[in-house]
Formats: sequence, structure tokens, C-alpha cells
Amino acid sequence: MKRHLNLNNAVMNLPRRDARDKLLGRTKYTIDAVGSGDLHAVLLRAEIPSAKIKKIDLSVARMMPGVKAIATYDDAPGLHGLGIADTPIFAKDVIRYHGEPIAAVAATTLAQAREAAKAIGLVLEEQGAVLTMREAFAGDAALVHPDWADYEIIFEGAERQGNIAWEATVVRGDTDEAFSRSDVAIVEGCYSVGRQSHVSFEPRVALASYVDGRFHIQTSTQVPWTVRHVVAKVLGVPDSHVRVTVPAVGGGFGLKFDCSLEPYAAVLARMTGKSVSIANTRQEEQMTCLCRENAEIRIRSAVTADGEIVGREATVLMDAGAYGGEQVFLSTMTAHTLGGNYKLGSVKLSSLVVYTNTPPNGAFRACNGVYNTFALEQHTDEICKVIGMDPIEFRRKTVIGNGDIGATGQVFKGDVLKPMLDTAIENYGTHENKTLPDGRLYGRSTTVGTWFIFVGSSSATINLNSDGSATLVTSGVEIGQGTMVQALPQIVAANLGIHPDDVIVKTADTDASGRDLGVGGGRTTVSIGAASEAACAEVRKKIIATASQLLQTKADNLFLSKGRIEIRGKSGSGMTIQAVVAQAEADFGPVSGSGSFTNPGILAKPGCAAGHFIDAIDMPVHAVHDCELAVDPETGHVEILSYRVVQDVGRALNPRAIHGQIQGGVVQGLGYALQEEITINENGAFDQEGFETYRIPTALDVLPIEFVLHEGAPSCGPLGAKGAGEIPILNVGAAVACAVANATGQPVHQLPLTPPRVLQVMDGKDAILNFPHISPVWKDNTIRFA
Amino acid sequence: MTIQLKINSEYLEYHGDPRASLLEVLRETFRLTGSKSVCCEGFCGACAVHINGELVASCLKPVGVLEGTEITTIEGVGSIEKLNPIQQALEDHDVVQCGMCFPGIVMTFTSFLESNPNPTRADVRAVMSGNICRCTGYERIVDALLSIQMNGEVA
Amino acid sequence: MADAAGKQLIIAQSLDEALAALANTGLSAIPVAGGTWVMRAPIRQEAPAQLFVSLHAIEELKGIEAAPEELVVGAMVSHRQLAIELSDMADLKAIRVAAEKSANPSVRNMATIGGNLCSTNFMSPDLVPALMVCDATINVQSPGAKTEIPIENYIETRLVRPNNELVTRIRLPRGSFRSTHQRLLMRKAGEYPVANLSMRLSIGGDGRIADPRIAVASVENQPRRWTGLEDALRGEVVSKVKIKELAIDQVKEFTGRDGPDAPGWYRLRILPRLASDALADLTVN
Repeated sequence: MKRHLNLNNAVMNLPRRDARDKLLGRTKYTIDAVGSGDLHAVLLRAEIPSAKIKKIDLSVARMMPGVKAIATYDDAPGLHGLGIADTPIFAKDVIRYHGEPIAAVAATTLAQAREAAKAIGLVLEEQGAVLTMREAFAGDAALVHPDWADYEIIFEGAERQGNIAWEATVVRGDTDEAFSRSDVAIVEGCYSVGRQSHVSFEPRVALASYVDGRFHIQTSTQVPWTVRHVVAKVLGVPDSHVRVTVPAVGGGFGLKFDCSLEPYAAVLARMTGKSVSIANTRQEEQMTCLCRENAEIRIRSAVTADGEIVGREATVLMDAGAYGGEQVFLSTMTAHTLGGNYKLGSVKLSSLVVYTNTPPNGAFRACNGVYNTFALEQHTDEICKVIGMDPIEFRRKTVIGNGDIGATGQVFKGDVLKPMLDTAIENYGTHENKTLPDGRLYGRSTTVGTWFIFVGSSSATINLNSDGSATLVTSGVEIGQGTMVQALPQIVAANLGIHPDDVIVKTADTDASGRDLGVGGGRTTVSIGAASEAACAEVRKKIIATASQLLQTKADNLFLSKGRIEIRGKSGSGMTIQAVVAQAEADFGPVSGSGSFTNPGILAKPGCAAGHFIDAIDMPVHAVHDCELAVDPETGHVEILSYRVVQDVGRALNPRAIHGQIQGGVVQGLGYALQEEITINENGAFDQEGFETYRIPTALDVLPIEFVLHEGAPSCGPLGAKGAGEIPILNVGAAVACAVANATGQPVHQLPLTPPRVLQVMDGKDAILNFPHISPVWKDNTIRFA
Repeated sequence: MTIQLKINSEYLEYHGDPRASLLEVLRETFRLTGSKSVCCEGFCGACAVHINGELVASCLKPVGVLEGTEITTIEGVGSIEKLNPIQQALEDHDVVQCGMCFPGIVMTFTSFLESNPNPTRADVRAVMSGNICRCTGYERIVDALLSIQMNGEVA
Repeated sequence: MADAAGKQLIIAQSLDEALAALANTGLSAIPVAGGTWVMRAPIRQEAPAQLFVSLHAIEELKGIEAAPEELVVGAMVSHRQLAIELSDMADLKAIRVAAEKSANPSVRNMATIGGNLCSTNFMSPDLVPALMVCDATINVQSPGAKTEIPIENYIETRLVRPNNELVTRIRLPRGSFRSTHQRLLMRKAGEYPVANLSMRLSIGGDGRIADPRIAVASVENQPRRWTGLEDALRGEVVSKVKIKELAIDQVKEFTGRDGPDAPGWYRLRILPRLASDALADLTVN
């Protein structure tokens, strides 16, 4: 049916329609609605990392001025989670992390709620805490979840044991054979990264009310359907008793790809019969952030003299914090990132999600792809040093291309990375040694990266209105990335022959739209876009049929353009879409259509992957980053001199918007690579509590990012588009680390490269030669194969 | 204690704790939610307002000292029908993303460009160091702000 | 809780009124200048003082008087005003740079020189080391008494000064010195300095350093003079390389403090670089 359209009309720099209100301060985010409800709620949070709760005494708090209800575990029992149901909403009997919610107080004013929370009596018996993954592995380590074996398994197939919440493994081919060959060099490395915090300007916040026997949650979230499901489960009501609506969101980046404060507001709304709002303070937001996890990696490769990787083994320890959460799911992505990019003769990977008594981690823009790419690319540069091959030449030879097999045995389509490398060389030149006049050390790197578009369930409905406009109903949320107000209306408009300004985009309401996996991972353009296209196809079919009747022309000869249905070759001879809609309504009733999308389903090689949620990635997305920098050898400061990107976008629907994502995503990556550091003290709490000590890039710390958009790689997305919002951050840690290694002549094994760490690198004191708790023998780090 | 505050040319009365920050009073008492509460310590710039024409972090100003001053918030800058030149440039260049930092950026540059109509790129970036943005990576905002001087007119 | 009249904030119209309010032993009362330290009490997990005594209406605390031998700065002068007023004064450049570079534009509009001096728990002030090298004299007033205190003495006694005392004016002697201020951050802006250093000296006709004064803040809990390096530099010919060597030798005078912003060893490691950058800046012309 696409012959009725010119889909190229979808490509334009459509300006965002929500900019004006945002610039005037008129936009009402959920945080701006706090105080419009009846009651304010606060959480009583644990101040130690590990303890038995002997007693919670609410008697004094309950009697305090303004207090209407106090909720604890018994008011919202049950466990939830991804993969394993291990997470309670309130601590039940046991505190597992500093900051864990123990109770929620609803009162008339915020000050009253805070005072009452302070008056809650707690009798705790402090227990030993495991604060690092190394401690978690020790033979006599305390178990963060002594009852781990009894937890409900939501997704089958993974090994679990003790403080190992989840194990995902990949075995393809015989690595023992590869490593024992006489014609290979064996290169090994250990890498360690800390956490990164999103710092979305709007904190997590929710309002809950109980109306006509149902809960209405207004929240700042990326995943309205997840919120609906978890709130219902926690409250013990059917999912259909919960409605979730989402206005403009002030930043997400993955922090809000989970249920957060909504259950507390909902429980208190039910208990009080009043509407309740709850918001994290900046300190709570920072100290219980669902961070990009800290991780430890051991990797080794057997490589021939001409650059063939005949064997690769790696173990990744991912710190889940006190509960499994997103990390359980993300263990899947090691295979496609650390095990990605390059042709591998044989491969063994294990990802262990480890419980510690620290705040739970979560998803953050390209998740573990960011640190896996850092480790992989540094490792690759080290391989190049050992075998004496140019790092770009090695990558050109070894990156996966059409027909090559990934770590889990999936067959990749299309040559993407190699042409992108060539584009980078063509546009950005080859590497040359440079001497800087001020005595700083010059370094440069070229790195490659692979991530995925998080496809999965989305649905959309289009209502074609009598005035020729169309209303698009989805569960998509505008978190700032622009897709809801740019790419989506552009796609719908092109599919209906109207202008994007005539596409009304309904804000997310689970009562109005079908189920959706959520916004993030590049899904909005691809999954919601594809569902929207499917809905457009239904609508188009209906109006073409009506127009064909009215114009007495075969459907094949009709063409939708500029709000009209024209007869092909006879411009101006057709009719307006309004006229067709009017007739269709008279004949059949209002014109609408629905569409759905889910994983296309690419196959992996059977038996390779265990404990994986995604065996093969349906839509890979690639990047090549080129970075030049200068290192001050006295202070350790790193200044980026140039940063240039080639990004695999499939089809650039709104190039200006993509520019915004690249500039913003790379800058977040620079923060990760150079400045953003979280340290955890002996109380299991973050030392960095706010903007003073958690350092995100300021305007003086950045530079314009140059880029070339690579189009044409295979994609099942609308018009062949891929999501562009996540991938800009993927390579930055790698790019900076490899360039610093190049500048200093020393390997880089840790991020972030803060000035003190750079000095340690230069002093030769930074190399982590060994993790005593990660065996060099691969199978010893697994449950399945040990 | 009753304090009379002149906000965006309108007189409003406040009866609460005079030690409360202007930001808290704007958002909670007067429901002027355009100024955002993000860092609460003067680092991020999202709460920026003008007091007697001068840029001030409203999270750090106790409301009790403000009687007799002229307070301008983002709600007093531009209108739906006509944006001020800073807002217009930012809209024209399509640089807004989540939007939470933009009221503060508009306030900062409305006062800065009034007294510095021809800044260099370095000047703009230095002034922007008081407005943190997590989404955009700044440079396109700088491009937009620099374009204002070429048009010649300022707030 | 509020004062006898039920007030939680008073705008003092005179020094006497402010001092009387601060002497109220019935509740916790603090002077409020720019407010940029006081208003962050919640972030520091501190309850706000019960009575705010705002100083912004007191005439004696405002304004800058310029005379040939000295500059007299009112305690309520903001960083921004100070930077503008001192823009042509090479001898007081340390103060100008400190005022111009610290924090960010809106905080510089609000924060005052008096506030910076009196925020004794703030470990990374920029103005304080600059005042130390510029040989400031601090005028204070308490009920019935006005005293002039040399800056070194003021800093030494800063933590034990009485509640009912206010800094009123800061006197800065003029002369044919050169001064500067260097600060080191992890990023390029938007945070407190990991270490900073102010330097003032004269250079004799023979090219030798006379009367060197160097003050350092943020490396330890309190700002202080770098007397070892001052002694080593006195009489030396100006040389960026030499000062670095001498500084490396004299760093031992400091104990670097560990903080969430940086480890102590790093603050010590970069001090020599701050010293040589300062000297380079002083010898540019």
C-alpha cells in the first residue's frame, strides 16, 4: 500500500511543538503538580546498609499533626522484579541497602510528613554488609538474600546461587583449543568501572488518587505499562484497576525505565482515600539512583599474527546492588557488546549479576554497552600493540560484516561497521603523532561500537478526524528526546499524506492506548513508529477505498499528498482528505485504525546462550568515534581537542534532532569518561549527594561534536530508521580511554579518568593486574560450567 | 509576618516563614512553577530569577528580605504571542529537549545580553557555566544565543 | 520558634540593631549577608537558625572607598561589585580574580566579601587567601567596641570569634605590588576549587623577588600562608622552573585533606604547579 505515498516526505527538520511552552516555563511536569493533591508523602529510608528489622513503632508518628496514614510492608506485600521476583516495595524484616524505604508517611504538609517520619521508632539489629562484589564472592560472605532459592522465577533458564542473582553465559566453539594453539598471542586484561548517575533534572515523582474504584497514577516515567503492572501487583488488584498518565517528563535517560515512587503514592491514596504526591529530594534522587552499574571485567583473547581472533573468553561481574532489577536483564547484553563488534572463532562469556548491600542499580543510556565497549576497545588496542598491527587496520579487517556470526551465533546482515570506519578515515583523516606546544601529551583513538534497538511490544491507534487531522494514540512518553513530537508525527504524516502539524500526538494514558514496553533504547522511533505505520495502513486502506468509489478510479491510481487524495498523474483532480473522511464516516462511521509491533525474531545458534532474555539482537546499531585529546602531565587534566562520530541511523528522519542527541549523548559520555565518580563509603552510602560533588559537564567542559550520519544499513524500522538517542554515548568511555592510553603510553584499566586517576595512570600505578576473585580459568567463574 | 512581594509587576502577599527560599515560595505558595527546583544549592541555575534586574539563584534567597524589590520570574518573560529574543532564538534553532533547564537559561541570558549585546563564544560559554543542562550538551544552545547579536536586537 | 516579637527574620537597619539581635541568647541567630552559605543549611543536614538577621540594609557595610593608600571595602560588597571595582588594580589582582572566577554568575551577584570571610566551615574560599596575601585589615564591631584586626590574626581566631560581632569593613593597602590568584578544579567551572593559591610580591630592579606572600586554601581545613615557600623565594631571581622545584620541596609543610572532591595527595601534587602558574602570571609584563 506504500505505493500510494511518497514516504520521503517524512524526512524533515520538523521543529518541536513543545518548545515554546518549555521556554516560557509553562510546561507542567509531574513535579509541578506536587501540592495540587490533598496530601504529601515522604519515605523513611534506612540509614545503614544491612540489618534485621526487629520492630517498627508507628505509634508516636501516627499521632503527629497532619498525619493521615503510614504504610509499611504489610500494606504492600509481595515481591516483584525482572527475571526474579526479589524486590519488596518496603523493607520486610531486613534492610538491604542504605536508603531502602521502610515506611511511607502521608500528611497534610510536607513538613508534617517529614517530622512524622523522624518520629518512627526503629529497632534494628545491624548485620554484616557486603559492600563490594569481591566481598560478595568471599567463601564466608554474608548472603544478601538468604532465601534466594525460594524466589519466584519470572524468566527461566539462568543459573543463580547465593550472592549471584543471575548468570548469563555464552559458549560457541572450543576456546580451549584456540588458546592452546602455537600460532597465537594471548592478550589478557582486567578492567573496572564505577557507577554513573543520570541526574535528570526532574526527580522521580508521582501523584496517586483513587477515583471510581480505580487508581489513577500521574507520574514521571518512561514505562507507563510497567508502572501499571507493578502498582497493581503490589496493591493486589487487577492491572485494569490502575490507570497511568504521563505528562512531559523532565529527563529520564533510563532512570525512569522502572516503577519507582508510584506504589507508595498508590498505597497511601488507598489508605487515606485522598490524593497523594511523593517526590524524591535531590539528595534522595542522587543517593538511591538506579545507576549504570559498577563492573569488573576479565577478558582474554587468542589472536594470530594477522589479526584473527580465534578465541575470546570474558567474565563480567555486574553489581546489581541489593536487588536484581535491570541488571538481571542487562546480563544479556554482554554477549552483544563485549562479545560483539568483531569476528570471533570461538567465544565463552559469562555475566554474573552480583548482589551487594548497596543501592540497586538500573538502566542508563546504553547500559553495560558503555563499559563493555571501553574494556573491549582498550583490549583491542592492547592486542594491536602485541601483534604489531595498526589499530584502525585491525578493526577494518576484523569487524563483523554481512554473513558474519555473532557471539551467540546470529548471522549479521549488511556491511555496516567497515564502511563506517572508511567514512571516518575519509572525513577525519588517519592518525598522526602530534606534539603540542604547551607540553601536554597528545592522544587519539578510533573506536567501534555495537548496541541494539530495544524492539518489542508497541501498539498504536490512529483516529482520522473530520478536519483532516489525525490523532495518534500510543503509550509513548516525551522525555526530551523529541521522538514523540518530531519523528512520530513525521512518520504518521508521511503515511497519511498530511503535514506533521496536523498530527495530534496524545500523551501517554494506559486507558487510551495499548500495551507498550516503554520509551528508551531507541524504541520510540522503531517500535512505536512501526506500530503507528501499521495503524496508518489500516486507515489508509479505508480512505483509499472510499476515495476510489468517489473518484471512480482504481485504488492503484490514487496517491495521498498534501492533505489530498489525488489521481496519479492528474494533480489537482482528486479531493481533500476532509471530503473523503466525511463520506467514509457517513458510510461506515469514524475512520480509525490500529497497529502493533513486536520483535521480528532473529535467530541465534541454539544452545549457545543460557540465561539470556535476548539471544539475538533484532536490530543492531553501530558507531565509530574518533577522539583527539590533550593530557596535562602535571595535573592530569584531559581536554578533548576534537570529537567526531559516524553514527548508523538507518534513515535520518529529523537530522537536526539527531544532532541534538549526538551532542547531548556524547557529552554525557564525556562526563562518564572523565568526571562523574561515585564512591561508596563504609556505611554503604554514596559520598556524592548532589551537584556539588557529583560532577556533570558544564558548558565550559564540552565542545561541538562533529558527525556524519551513516544511512542505509538494514533496518525493520519505519523508512529504515533506527533509534538515534542511545548510541551516541556508547563509545565515549572507550574513545577517551584509548586516546589517553595513546597519549600517555600506559594502558587504561579504570574509568572515570579523573585528574588524580590520570596521574596514577602516568605513574604506572593504575594497572589492575588481577582480580583475585575472578579466576583466570573461565569456567571457574560460572555456576553452570564449574 | 506578612511580606508583600512584587512579582512580575503584580503584588502578592506571603504569610509564611520568612526564612523560606524565594524558590519554595514561588513554586508552592504562588504556584509559579516555571522556576525549577533541581539542585537546591545554587549550582544548576534552573531556579534563576531577576531581583531588581540582577540574576539571582532563588533557592538561595530568603523571601523575608525581598519586600520593596522587583522580582521577575520566567512567567514574566515573553508571552505565548511574542517570545523575547532569547526565547525566540532558542525556539528557532530547535534546541530544547526535556526543557527543565531552559527557564533558567532564558533568565541568565536575558539579563546578560542586555548589558553585553555582542559576546564572544567564550563569553557565552563562561556565563553558561552557571546553567547546567543534562540533555543537550550545550553547544547548540550557544549557537542559538550567538545568533541573537546578528539580528541586532536584544530584550 | 521566633524572637520575642515573633519574628524569624529581621532586616537590621543599623549595626547596633544587628548586634543586639545576634546577642539574643534565647535562640540561635545568624547574620545573613548574601545568603549563599546560610541557605544551604538543609543540604548540609542542618536545621536553619531560628532567627535570620539580614544585614543588607546597613549603610556602613555597603560601598567601596578608594584612597591612594588604601581601598576600604564594605562587608556586604558582592563578588561581582568587587571584581568590577578592582578591574584596573594590579596590586589587588588576586582579589579581583578570586571575585571574578569563583562559583557562577548568580552566586557572584549574591555572595559577599564579608560572608566569604565569615563562613568558617567553608574549606575552599577564594577571597580569603587573596585577602591574606593582600595584607588586609579586618574592621569588626561588637557592642560598644570597634577593633581592627590584621588578617592573619583574624584567620587564626576565626573559629572562636564571639557571636555578637560583625565584620564591617575590609581595608586593603595599596602599593607597587603584583598579585594574582590561581585555582584548580576538576572540571573547568561549577565547583569549589580542589586547591587554590594567591600570591603577592614585588620584583626589585635587580630582578629579585621581594616581600613574597603566598596563601593557600582548600588543601587543608583552613586557609593559611605558605611560609616555607615564601622564605625560599625571598631574594631569588624570578624563574618558573626554579619556583616549581622550590615548591615541590616545600609542599611538605601541608597535610593534604581527603575529601569527596579529591584525595589529599592530589592537592599536594598540584600545588607546585599553582605556584609556578601564579609566578608566570605575575611576570607576564
